[in-house]
Amino acid sequence: MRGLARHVADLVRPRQLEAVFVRSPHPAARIGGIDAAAALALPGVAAVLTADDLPHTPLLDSVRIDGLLKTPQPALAGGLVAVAAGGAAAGGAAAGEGLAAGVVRFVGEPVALVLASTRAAAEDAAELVAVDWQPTPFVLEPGAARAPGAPLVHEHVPGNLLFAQAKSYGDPDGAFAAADLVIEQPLIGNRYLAAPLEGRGCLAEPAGDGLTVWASTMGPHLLRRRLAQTTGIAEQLLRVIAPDVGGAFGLKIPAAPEEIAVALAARAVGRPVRWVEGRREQLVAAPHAKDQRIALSLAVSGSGELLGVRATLTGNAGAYSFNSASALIEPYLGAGLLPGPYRIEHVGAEIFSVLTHTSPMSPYRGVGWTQPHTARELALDRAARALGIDPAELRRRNLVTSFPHRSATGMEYDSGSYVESLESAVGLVDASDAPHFAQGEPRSAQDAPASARDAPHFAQAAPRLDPPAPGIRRGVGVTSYVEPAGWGSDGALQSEWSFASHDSVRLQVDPTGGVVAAIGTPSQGQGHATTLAQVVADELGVRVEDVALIADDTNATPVSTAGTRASRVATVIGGALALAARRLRARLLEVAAAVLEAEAAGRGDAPAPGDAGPRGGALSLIDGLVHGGARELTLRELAEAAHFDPALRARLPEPDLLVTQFHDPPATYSNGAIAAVVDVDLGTGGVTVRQLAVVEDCGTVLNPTVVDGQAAGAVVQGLGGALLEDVDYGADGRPRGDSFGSYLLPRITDVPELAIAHHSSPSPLTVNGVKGMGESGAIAAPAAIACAVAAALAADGFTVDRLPLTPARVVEGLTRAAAPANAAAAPASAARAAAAPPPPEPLQ
Amino acid sequence: MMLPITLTVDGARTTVEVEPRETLADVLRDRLGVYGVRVACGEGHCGACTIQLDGATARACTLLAVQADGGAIRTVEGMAPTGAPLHPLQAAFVAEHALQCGFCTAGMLMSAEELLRERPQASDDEIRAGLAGNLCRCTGYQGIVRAVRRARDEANEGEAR
Amino acid sequence: MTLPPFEYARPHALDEAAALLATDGARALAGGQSLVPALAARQPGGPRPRLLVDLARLPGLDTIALDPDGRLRIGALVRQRAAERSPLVARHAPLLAQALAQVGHPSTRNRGTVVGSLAHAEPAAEVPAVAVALGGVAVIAGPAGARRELPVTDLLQGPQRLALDPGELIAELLLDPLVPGERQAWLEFAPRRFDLPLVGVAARVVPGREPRLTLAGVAPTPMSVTQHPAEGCDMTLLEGLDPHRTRIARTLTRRALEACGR
Repeated sequence: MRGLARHVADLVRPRQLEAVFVRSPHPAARIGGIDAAAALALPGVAAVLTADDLPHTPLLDSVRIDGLLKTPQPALAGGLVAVAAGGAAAGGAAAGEGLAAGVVRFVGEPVALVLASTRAAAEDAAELVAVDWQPTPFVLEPGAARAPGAPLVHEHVPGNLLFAQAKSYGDPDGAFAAADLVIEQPLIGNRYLAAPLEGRGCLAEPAGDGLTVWASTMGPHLLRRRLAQTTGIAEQLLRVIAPDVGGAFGLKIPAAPEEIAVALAARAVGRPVRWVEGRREQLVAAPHAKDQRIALSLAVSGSGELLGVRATLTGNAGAYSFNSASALIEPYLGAGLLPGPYRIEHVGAEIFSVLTHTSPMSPYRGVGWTQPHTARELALDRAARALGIDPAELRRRNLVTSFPHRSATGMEYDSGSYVESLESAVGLVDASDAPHFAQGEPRSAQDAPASARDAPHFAQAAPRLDPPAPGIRRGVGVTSYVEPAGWGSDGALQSEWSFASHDSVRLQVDPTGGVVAAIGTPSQGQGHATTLAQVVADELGVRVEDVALIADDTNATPVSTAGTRASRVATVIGGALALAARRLRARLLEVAAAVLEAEAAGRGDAPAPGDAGPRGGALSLIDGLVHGGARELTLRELAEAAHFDPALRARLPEPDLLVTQFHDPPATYSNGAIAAVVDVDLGTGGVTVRQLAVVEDCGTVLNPTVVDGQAAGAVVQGLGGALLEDVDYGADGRPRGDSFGSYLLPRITDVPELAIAHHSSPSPLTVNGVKGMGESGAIAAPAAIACAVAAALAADGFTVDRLPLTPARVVEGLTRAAAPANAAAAPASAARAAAAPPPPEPLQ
Repeated sequence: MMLPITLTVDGARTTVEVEPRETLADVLRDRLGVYGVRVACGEGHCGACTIQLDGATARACTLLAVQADGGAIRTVEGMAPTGAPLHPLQAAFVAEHALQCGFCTAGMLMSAEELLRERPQASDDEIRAGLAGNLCRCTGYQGIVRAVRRARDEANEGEAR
Repeated sequence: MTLPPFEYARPHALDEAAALLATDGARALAGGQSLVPALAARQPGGPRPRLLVDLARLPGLDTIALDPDGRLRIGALVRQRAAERSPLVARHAPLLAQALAQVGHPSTRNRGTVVGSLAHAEPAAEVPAVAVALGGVAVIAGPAGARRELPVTDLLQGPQRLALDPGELIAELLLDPLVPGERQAWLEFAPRRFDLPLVGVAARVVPGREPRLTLAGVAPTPMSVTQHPAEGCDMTLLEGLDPHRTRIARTLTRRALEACGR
């Protein structure tokens, strides 16, 4: 706020070198040689390192799933010709060793690292590194990559197929045979990415036999483990510090090849080395996200019962399957959530993960779920239109209503407000000028379900919109979602994903009465310092300002298995802190009782009545003061006594104010609904989101302001994915969305004022009923918006089969729908449906 | 080629030798340690590095330091020096949860300050248009609009009294 | 993220600037809002000037004035923000003020100049189209005090291409003033508001005359068209253009004429 935060780009260490990567301009090429002479001749350049100068250290995919082929990614794709490096090189791998030596597999893959005294010198030098590129055939699309004769991204992966699996739950064949209506919904999901305002980056400094690494990361412990695994430095000699981090959203979970290279470079030259990712560098070369090709079918009965869903989910894995995240995350996790919040008992999924010559995959908010959710919801809306049922009503008929509910794919939905949330969301938008919304009139607060009536924003009801102008089509989309929000071993099992998500925390009262909570999950803007300190303060009985949260330094915090990700912090860390605080509170009250006893004995008084039972039983700790004894005790007095009073140690065998707490929470599921109203301009193809309503149910809310902020942020990222954001590889294999001028993040003018409301269905399973949250908007907002556009243009024969819905795509789709040759062939999608769409209005 | 330039940064006058290619952001950060100026895209698209030069917002990443020679620069660090109470806009940002990771905040504040200085009665649409050059990836902009509105209303109430 | 190296000069007289600009690899720097980002991108094929000639200290070029013959005279150093708020522009060239309000953002308009945007010669940009629509004439200064006038339609040769000789720079832009009864409108469409538009339309409607429309983004340089009874304007010129831009051009043309009361 005052400009005092410090990020990696703001750190300076003595004799620090700036690192700039030389990256491939080709999607596929052999490297004939690398000549760094001209680069090394520039003033200020200390070294140019290639794969030959660094130990061969590939990153591996840590996900263990049968049948998943591994394609390790090297920190630097190898050069075949050794080059003179200004600094001492650590024992390099022999030329040609390792899977990637001499070959690059995507535009942006790093091949050399220039180290110089300034960033400008390093960038100048990087332009002078001459690489003998020998371009080879490449393939960008998963479909083309699986075709016979396609160029192989890795020789050992036939057909570029990393993974293939068919899953079946219930009897999908039977369900489809019994269906009155089958909707086929294809969806080309766009490739987009987290694009936090602060890019990736790290600073590695030799420290004794180890390294201290400052990194813009979501998981300092995760990075430390990867560095130990790849560099061979013992983990205890590595210290990773996450300074202030300017957003992350999943991108900063995986250890990056660049981070490994920088760590190795610092070792090689014996000086601090810093890398600060540039924006172009990030958009082109950082791992991307989403990018599924989906063919989904929905089996529906004549009365609108969802009988079954089948989907082929093909993930574009990019060029490598590596570490932490895996190329598989998108289609694999997507399959598990195919039934979503509905009672769909029969599910079939075919999962493919396919290599292409594009940047690898990273997790990004709503990992795996976003695009299958969008496809399912688009299909649902088309079913509703075909059956003449209001789309909200169709959902209402199929939503889960009793708990616990075991989904077809094995997830145990523990509690929720599925129907209520949907109704609230619909009530928060003005659907009166949109076709296909039977109820039309916005609901008043009096009509709202009881549980929503108290929601702070609900009473406002929906502001009315002016009717659309001529040439503008209005549409409403509404979608319900469920979000796995607890993880832990249980949640991982239910998602069939080998994801360790337990953690320990440490809570200590220091000798002057301050409370220090040490956790391994730093914040990148999610407000941990606020919410988690509040959990500790509430459970412990101290003032929130007396609690300090430490999360940024592996040397000061307990190991975190997974870091800040997967909406796990509230349940895993929040739960652990609550349990730790309860134990510490009991310990403090024991100390208080002992102090009071000693004082009473000193005065010759009889023991206070409450002290007769278990120690401290009659005492209470409120706002840092112990009440209920002969006098009030402050936290500071307790801390001083516990640490320094010899008599107390005689009375209490372990007057220790330190608690560590392990926690592996049970699985829990958040839910909610999103509604969107859009205006589509037939004359330009422009889509304007007029209203967006989010209803969130994450059980017990730790901090409403933080929850609203997370919900809003996620929804707007979803809006970007639906309408604007696209990496968009061109035919030359280069991303066209390569700067913030061509990769379009939503601006403030693209976002309406959101209506946010809450329901609260506390989890019966988790500590205090808390559920994780923060991803739902990224999962479901694209569906709400895509459904709204599809609804607006349904009468024009337009169908959504690709995202984002850019103006050019909208116009192209409208043109295609209007072309007489295609008009006859258009309704191939609704196989057995015979619902006649209303005649299109004349174009104004 | 190094050129001496004189800048007044948050009230302090200083002379530095710079290369012509150094942007104002480069000089503020790397030579003067004003890290409150953050660079997020480096090409003038995102507004994170917005500062004020002689009272008007500019993007420090697309302004050569030599172009600012002789100018008075205001950054977020000068809005409320350490120890001083927050500027009303900063206080409104805190009150309305207008930041999460905070990387865009300095630029947002600079733009919002100019906006309210020029249009004390700015409408919601004018607030949005005035801040459209500043990207935020965390908040969905909801708290930011509320914060600027709050600062506007508080200033106007202050006027009325 | 850093700029490639170059030299820098800050002349105090037009002659001196012209002489510097006549040297190899020299480029004029005004507000820098197009040039500096292009330098920062360090893209292959991007600009790599040897010398930037900063025009900022040239005297007398930072004013907007009305000529005795009624033309609006905009100096090369007039910032977009100054023109956007100028009462003279509001009265005599409201089209320019309207269009400028959609050029980038306050923080870029505070630095960027009107003439700099013209000289950038971006096919879809606002200022070149408005300059064409308003019968713009560039006053060009050259070495040794040379001065000539060139219609903007002749100045603009294609994307980022101007009919300027080495050592020449645009010193001023002259624009036709509003005539009595005239209405002007600028409309544009971009996938994201405030971005460079895909298509922009300038409309001038004078009672008793054919409406004059100038389109940005449909050709390498701004294209003027006249009204067509059925279409609003003669769109046969748009044949062969990508259908999306054509559609936008038709739509904006209709709306621009409506905005002018047609």
